[in-house]
Amino acid sequence: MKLSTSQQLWTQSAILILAFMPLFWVAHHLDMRQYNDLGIWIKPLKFHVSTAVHLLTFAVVVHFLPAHMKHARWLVVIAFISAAATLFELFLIDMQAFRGVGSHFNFSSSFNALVYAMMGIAALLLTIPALILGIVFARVPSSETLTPGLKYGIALGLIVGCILTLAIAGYMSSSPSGHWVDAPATDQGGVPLVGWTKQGGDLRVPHFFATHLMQILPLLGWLIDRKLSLRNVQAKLSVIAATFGGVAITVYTLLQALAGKPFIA
Amino acid sequence: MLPQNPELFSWLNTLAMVGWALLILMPKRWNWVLLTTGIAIPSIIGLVYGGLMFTHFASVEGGGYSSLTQVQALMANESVLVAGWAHYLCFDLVIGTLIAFEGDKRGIHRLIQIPMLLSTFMFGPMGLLLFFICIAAMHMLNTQKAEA
Repeated sequence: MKLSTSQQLWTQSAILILAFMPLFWVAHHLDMRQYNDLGIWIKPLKFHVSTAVHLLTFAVVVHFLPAHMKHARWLVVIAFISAAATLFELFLIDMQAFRGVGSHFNFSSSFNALVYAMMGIAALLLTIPALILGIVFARVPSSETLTPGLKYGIALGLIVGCILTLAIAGYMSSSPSGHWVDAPATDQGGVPLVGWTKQGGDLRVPHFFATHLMQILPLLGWLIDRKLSLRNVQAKLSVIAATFGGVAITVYTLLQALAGKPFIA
Repeated sequence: MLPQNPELFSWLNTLAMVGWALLILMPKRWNWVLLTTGIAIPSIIGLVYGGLMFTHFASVEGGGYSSLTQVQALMANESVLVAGWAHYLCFDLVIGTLIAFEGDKRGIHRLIQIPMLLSTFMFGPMGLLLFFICIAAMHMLNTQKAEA
């Protein structure tokens, strides 16, 4: 199995992004500086993991495209743009951690505000390819490799995940209190791993669920095709039902956060 | 008239910068790029380094390599400090060239090489470590694929 150029771009950038992890781990233990009462290197660590997963998702789903599309020129172009935008986004986040200041929601100087604005553009460029790929999958006929559940899982996961992510992240970036709603501005004592506050609303919760629809729905579609012997229509309907479920969870956690209530108290 | 240390320092810096700009921006299918950054520029820097070290190394009071105090004494001498900086410039550029050369050979895309090269340019060994981790991961992926 030979990877196409777009898959190579995505896989190689994901590997490079993950290669930073040991460095952050060592820095986390040496560096006493904190941001929101948490070690300054925790945030780069989290963003490197999540963006690597994001790019690897693209590399994996492209595997299921018909052979003639896998090597299409437009695919290489969006792979290049999204990989470059991701590397740039991480460069900005890591640079601000390096300098010991915040990256998101940081308007404290014109330089920091410029960095945050550029991060917004990069985030848009690295998310939009999901929408494009999702639309492509919705139009491609299902086949031996692209089984019906998988096809609709990828299409709906990428389209709905992308739109909800952009909507929630867009709203969050314009919120004056950042991602916290009626909660003290600290990352201390948050939910393990993800760091969501337990003392109020946190808009990062719906962002998480919206964004990971891009992985959950394709995976679910794949499992439905492999584990359940459903007819094509049934597989398709199951994935559509799961999409409604995913949207419901996202909307529920969004309303919960907006009401200033924690997801896990 | 021989150049003074501050001038020498900025000439060396400029020379290395030219090397890094060539390495990052130029198409590497042109052989002369790698020959310039990997051999020509490091050789010039090596020549200056040798000259500075021959002249000043032995005359630094309390200087040496075997304790932090001795190295501190060495670096307190401005000419040795310029030589020490030249050492960084020279070796970092050679490592950068090797990363670019090996990266091309192993099919690492230029977009992915650039962050490694910039890391090597700014923080030498860190870029080298990133490169090692990446080729190890890619090697493991390729072997797995070949077995599958």
